[in-house]
Amino acid sequence: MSAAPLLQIEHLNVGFDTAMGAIMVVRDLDLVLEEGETLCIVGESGSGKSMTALAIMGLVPEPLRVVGGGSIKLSGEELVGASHRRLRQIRGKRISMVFQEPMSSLNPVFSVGEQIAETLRLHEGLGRRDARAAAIEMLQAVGIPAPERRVDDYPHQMSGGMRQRVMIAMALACRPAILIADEPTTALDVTVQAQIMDLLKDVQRRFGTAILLITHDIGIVAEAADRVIVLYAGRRVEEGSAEEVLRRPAHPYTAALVACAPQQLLLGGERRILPEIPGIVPSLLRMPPGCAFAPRCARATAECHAKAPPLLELSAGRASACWLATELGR
Amino acid sequence: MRLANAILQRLCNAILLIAAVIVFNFALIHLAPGDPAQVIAGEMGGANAKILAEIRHAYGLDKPFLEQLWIYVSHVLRGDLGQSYYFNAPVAQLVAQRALATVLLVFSGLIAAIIFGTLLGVFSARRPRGALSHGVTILSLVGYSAPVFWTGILLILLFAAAVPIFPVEGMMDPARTGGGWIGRAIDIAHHLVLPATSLGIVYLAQYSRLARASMLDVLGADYIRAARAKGLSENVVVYKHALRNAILPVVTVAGLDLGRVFAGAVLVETVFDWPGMGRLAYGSILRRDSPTLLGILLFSAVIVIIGNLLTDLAYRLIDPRIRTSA
Ligand SMILES: Nc1ncnc2c1ncn2[C@@H]1O[C@H](COP(=O)(O)OP(=O)(O)O)[C@@H](O)[C@H]1O
Ligand SMILES: [Mg+2]
Repeated sequence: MSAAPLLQIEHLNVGFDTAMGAIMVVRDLDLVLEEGETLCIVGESGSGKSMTALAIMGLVPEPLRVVGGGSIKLSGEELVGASHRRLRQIRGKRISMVFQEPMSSLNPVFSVGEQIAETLRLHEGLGRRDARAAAIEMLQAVGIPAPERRVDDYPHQMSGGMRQRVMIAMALACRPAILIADEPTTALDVTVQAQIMDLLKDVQRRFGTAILLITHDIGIVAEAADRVIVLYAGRRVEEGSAEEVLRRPAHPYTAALVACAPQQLLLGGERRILPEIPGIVPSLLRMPPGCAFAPRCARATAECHAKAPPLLELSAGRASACWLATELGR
Repeated sequence: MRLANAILQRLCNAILLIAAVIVFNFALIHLAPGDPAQVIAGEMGGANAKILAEIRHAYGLDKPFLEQLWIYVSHVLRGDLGQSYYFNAPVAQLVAQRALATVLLVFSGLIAAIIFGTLLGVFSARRPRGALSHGVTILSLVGYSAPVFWTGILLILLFAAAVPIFPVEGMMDPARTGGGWIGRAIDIAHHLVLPATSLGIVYLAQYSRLARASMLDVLGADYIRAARAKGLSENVVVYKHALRNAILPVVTVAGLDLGRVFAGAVLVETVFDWPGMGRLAYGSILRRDSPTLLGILLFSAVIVIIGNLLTDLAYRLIDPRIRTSA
């Protein structure tokens, strides 16, 4: 009998009811995260990446809820419907999260050391002095110079990059098995982005943390991901190993994402401002009957507009939700 | 060290400010219409021109303005606030007698309003669509629109006629004997309930609304979501991470109110026959008793300045962004 995967999500649906009907921001999502790997979720803004992450944390904001019979299992333990108490034990201890906005994700009135130490006191039962020493150690581990001094700094005394390092230190303080990083570099300068990505890879190597990396930047997928899931309007449209998906996208949407970042992918050159895919994501209230991407897709056929394609397994771990998948993925 | 510096700097500012207040008030009263000599003469039962001149001479009112100002300032510096025209008693003594009553009234009303208002605001912010939250909205509407004397009269009607459990007049029971100082304190507290309540209700409305809005704002902040993501309990998230931030606007407004609340005190003191400074001030204006008025104004200025100092200090303790910058 093989052990349960570290994190296994099946049929996750996140949505809420409105007067105009139910709105689903995440639909029927399946996902497996294995120990020590990096899984990227990539998609445009609004595609449901953050809500997926928050669903795992049990922190989906009102009025959204996890609906339907979906399941989120951590080493086999069901988290959907778990008690608040149990979820609090898991958050910050087994699964941690780093957010997009380092400037506003640290509490301005507490020192960064206190904010790290607080987690250690809570989950590891450390005393004040030990927690502080461990916080200094964590600051050191995420590459903050003079950590004995910076431990008493307040967030406003630090740059965005430094604050994101603190967030990462805070998230990793209790050596969680899973780190969810929701666009951890989006709000940062380009040079700082690269440093933070390097730091994530470095801590993953040292601590063996599995990383669920959320991004809208296909360049980051190329740089960091083992496997990738492409989300469009709350649905998986493609998944597979990062290498294969980037080399031979089996969905026109992925192909468009990749085409928008050729420079960097092929040459490893500097990141440019990406040209956009024409058109906009359909409103979740008025989803087209067929493929959600069809209105923007250059290759869409009458069938695409009429009927939504199922997620089709192309090979082991490789799937695409496109009527042309087999043709494209070859 | 930084804190000591900041306090020292603010104390220097405060002293300069008080000096300016003394000069400004004196000039203002001097410019006001009405002849104090007439008033004094009126107290003595009418007078002719000769007596008026004598009175002016006796009180130094015939001296040039700058000389009068100098005499006043040099006396104040020695702690002598002058002599009341009306009571014929030292102003310092008159003010001291009543200051305690007013400070007691004003602070108990305001502080209770701040504490209960903040708690109400926090509770209702945790359930923005709950019954308590709607209650706070209604309370703040009523509290805002109801004038303080009206609330006071209503309370008197209620607790003098309907359910007579609180005294509605004065600060102590003159008939009460014995019981020692504890008994007296209880007696004063008993008398304090209604006046402090009617003064406090207006502020309660204001603070509950302010705290609710501020707390709702803070609860939506990214760092609150991050605090939850750490596995902290809801109580720690609300009372440690959110409240400390949400309280900042409350502190700011409390500092401003410390100055304004004395104006409201006049009405409450009148309605409840509370022997405080508000009534003394009102009477002194009618009586053109300028030394007393000046003494009261000076005292109020000092209170406002102390209030601002305390606010500043509280802000520094709560918010490191201020502590570490200036
Ligand atoms: N509090 C909320 N209430 C209702 N809808 C929301 C809320 N937060 C996000 N959404 C909607 O959920 C969808 C997915 O959002 P999100 O997961 O944040 O996207 P992403 O992280 O991929 O940019 C979006 O259409 C967004 O408008
Ligand atoms: Mg997002």
